Amino acid sequence: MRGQIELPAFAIAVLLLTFTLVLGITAANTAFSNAERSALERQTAVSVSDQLVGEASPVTARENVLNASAIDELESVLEGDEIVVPDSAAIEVRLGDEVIAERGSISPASASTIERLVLVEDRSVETVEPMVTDAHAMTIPRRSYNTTVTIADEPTGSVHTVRANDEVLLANDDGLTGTFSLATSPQETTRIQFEMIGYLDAGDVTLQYEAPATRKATLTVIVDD
Amino acid sequence: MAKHFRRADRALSPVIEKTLVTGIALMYIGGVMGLLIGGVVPTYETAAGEELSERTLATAAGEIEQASTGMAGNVTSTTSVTLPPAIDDTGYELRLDDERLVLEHPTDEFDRETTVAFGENVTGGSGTWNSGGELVIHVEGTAAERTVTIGDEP
Repeated sequence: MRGQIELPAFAIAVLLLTFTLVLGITAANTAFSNAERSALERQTAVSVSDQLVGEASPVTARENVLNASAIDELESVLEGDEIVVPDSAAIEVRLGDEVIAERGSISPASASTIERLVLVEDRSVETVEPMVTDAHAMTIPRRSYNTTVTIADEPTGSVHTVRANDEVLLANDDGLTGTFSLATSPQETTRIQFEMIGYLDAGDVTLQYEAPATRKATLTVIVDD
Repeated sequence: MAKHFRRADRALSPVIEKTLVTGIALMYIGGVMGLLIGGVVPTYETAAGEELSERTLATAAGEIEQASTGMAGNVTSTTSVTLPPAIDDTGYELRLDDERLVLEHPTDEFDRETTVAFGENVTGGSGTWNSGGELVIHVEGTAAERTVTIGDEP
């Protein structure tokens, strides 16, 4: 080996080159694994959450507003064909921290999560028994649904016209008795006016409507393929 | 005599050294190239292709869903979407068969399929699209009976 002093230098060069190569490949690997997303899984989660809060969804009152009483049925909705979920996917739906529906089992490490801000609407039936006099007006709030009025048959007097925001909804010259549903718009505050002859006691006229109370919540859809 | 030989021999040692170093260098380069082209690069190409085909299909499915939902009444709509012209330098095909959207690629590892969630009023989806141009999504029909077609032609 006499006179071969270049060999050790060459060996070091090769070693350095190999080291650089390994470093390069490691960097490429990291870049690759960082860029890896389960795009299809995410797409499924987006699509399911879209369908859940859409207008046609069985659990919404209107777009982006969940119906509180329908939430319990979500489990059976997922099983049915109203919402399209790929058969292979495990899915979990949460409202706030509470799991409201699940199908299959999710492993958190590999799952895709979509969160949406939604309103949850709880409708409670309100009953008011106004003291009705002629041209008496009472106001029901905006977003009230299924308004009904019940007028008792009393000899002392009778209601012959019911108006909502100056529009005649019910009219009968002989007097209105019984239960009527009023076609009021949920979009605006409604003033209901009664025109009558004679007098009626408190409780003879009953007004019923569904008043919604909404709260904000986070709807989370987790999909694991 | 022997001494003379040794002295003549001395001139050979740099020649041997250079030959040795050149040989090792060539072998090293050859080995590394073989390793990269034979093993590392194809793995990355496949990984990138799989990722790209998955994303392409996800984009297409999302766009088709978007185009087919949320409209009332009679509809005739055309939506164009730009998708990658090739995956791993090769063209591919998208096929819509009712609610199934399939991406077909000559390399079987890149094949993917998913379910498209149409609105309730969509009765059928069909069509085939070959990569290269824009993906054209055509939605047509009444509120009760709507069809979705994909293709190359607007």
